Amino acid sequence: MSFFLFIGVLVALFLIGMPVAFAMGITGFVLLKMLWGGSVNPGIIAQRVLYGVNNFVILAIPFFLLAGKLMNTSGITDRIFHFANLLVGHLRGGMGQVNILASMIFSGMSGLAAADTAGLGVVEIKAMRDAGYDSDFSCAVTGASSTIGPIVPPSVPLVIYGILANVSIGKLLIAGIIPGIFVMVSLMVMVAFYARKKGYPQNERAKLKELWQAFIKAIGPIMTPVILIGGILSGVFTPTEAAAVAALYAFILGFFIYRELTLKDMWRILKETARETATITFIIACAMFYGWVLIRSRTPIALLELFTDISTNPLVVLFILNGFLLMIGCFMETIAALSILVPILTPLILKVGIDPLHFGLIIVLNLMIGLLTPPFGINLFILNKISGVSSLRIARACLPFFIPLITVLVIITIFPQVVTILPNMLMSK
Amino acid sequence: MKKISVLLNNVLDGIVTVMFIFMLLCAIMQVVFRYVMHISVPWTEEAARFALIFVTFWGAATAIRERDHISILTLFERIPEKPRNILQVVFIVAMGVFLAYVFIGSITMVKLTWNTPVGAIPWLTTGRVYLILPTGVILMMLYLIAWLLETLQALIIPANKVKG
Repeated sequence: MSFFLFIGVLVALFLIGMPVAFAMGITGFVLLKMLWGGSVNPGIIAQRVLYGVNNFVILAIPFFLLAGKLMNTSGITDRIFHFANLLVGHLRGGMGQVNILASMIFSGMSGLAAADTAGLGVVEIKAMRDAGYDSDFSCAVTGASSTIGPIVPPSVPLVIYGILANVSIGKLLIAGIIPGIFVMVSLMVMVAFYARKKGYPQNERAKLKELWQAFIKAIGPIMTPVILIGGILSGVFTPTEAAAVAALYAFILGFFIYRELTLKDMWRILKETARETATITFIIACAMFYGWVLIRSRTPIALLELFTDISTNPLVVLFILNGFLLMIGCFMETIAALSILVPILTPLILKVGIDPLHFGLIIVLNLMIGLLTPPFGINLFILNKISGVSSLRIARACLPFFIPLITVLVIITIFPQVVTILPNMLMSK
Repeated sequence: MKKISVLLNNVLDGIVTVMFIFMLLCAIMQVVFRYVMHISVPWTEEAARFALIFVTFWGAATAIRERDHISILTLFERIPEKPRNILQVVFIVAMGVFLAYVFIGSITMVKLTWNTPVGAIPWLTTGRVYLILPTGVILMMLYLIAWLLETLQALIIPANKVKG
């Protein structure tokens, strides 16, 4: 139990501002000292940290980041938004629906929710305000729909989960498709419901010819998820290679075809992505060391006993974990939460008989919902920055959208098939 | 002094970025070799992995300089300036101690593997690849020291006087 207390203290440590990677490294180090009483072989620390990132699979992360950044130029987000507008703008709640569909399409190119909000969000909020929607609602729809980003492929959080829980990345990515569609549909229903109550306008139905033209203009970016998913499913690419090809494709699109990017932009984006990569992979490196110590400290076993005293029913365990994860999501950043929790929870999941593939989507959806909750919901801060509406007001406006998000969470918790059917049907092994 | 550090920063950023590009090219070459030229080239995967190790540990140093490491600052930023700076000093020292251990350990690793060949790349040995870790750690420590000095300065001379 003392270890729990200890981990609690360290979680508190980085809640007050210690960089996450170092907090994990130091936790591991102190834990190791407690276990082996004094003499710690520094060679073990170095070895674990280095082995943690000596892995071809992790390379998918930087490439997903790069593809998302290259696609997040004004020209490309405009094309996507325009196409979505003509496709669903005539539905009830017009621009709200457009916002959600545009986020869904963009999710197929970007692997982080925050990136979606910061790039596409600007376009979405401006368009909604221009069309006469109030700022609160515009921000709430933008925030809620950005949660789709890391659920459908590509997804940085799912890759991190896969690495830490030792689950096939390809399967995880494919498993996100159906839950992602569920989230999209449930949000669209919610918007329609809202729009009816508030009498929001809807656009006229677009002519087929216009729609076709918009589709042609947007086909370049829309092909990204096709290449990615198709490549992984057909076995042509490994997920890492698919990510690299997607990044190259995004570059060709932005630089040669749309001429959105200059060489100078390119260098800046690459430099930023390299640094962002380091901040994520350095966390993974430290998390691997921390996870290794954690297992030796028998903490996961203590947790296991704690849980199995309550219940060994997978569904009960999952619902308890959902409650816990939603709470954690309110306080912790996604990557940090994954790196701390996955090594602790994986043994429990396996022991109770929950498919780790299933759990991957559950944990990521939970943490995505956490992006919209105060006090630490990152999306709230980003929305506040781009819209000027206070983050507390945005949080309040987001409240109704928790209904569809939690509904989807409950559905995928009760029916693991929603998650596992696609990868199990389409992928061997 | 300032000029030198600006130059150093730019050179470091440049090297990390070039390694990032190299990493991307390796992964793409792997696909091209396999599907277009129908040959299997084993070194692309290894080279890409080593480039990632490089980007991770050298890039982590630049991230310390830019204060880019993911941390949750919502509470931290609400602490009054003086106790916040004291806390910051404690953090930096703790980070330094952790890195010192990693450094000592990495030297042992490099020594042990100095002559161990790397599978697909004949002129490279595992120990030489592992050198990325201690060198990256040294760079991280340099930037940590700079950060420490800045924080200490802010502690001794309150911010309004520095600006004045």
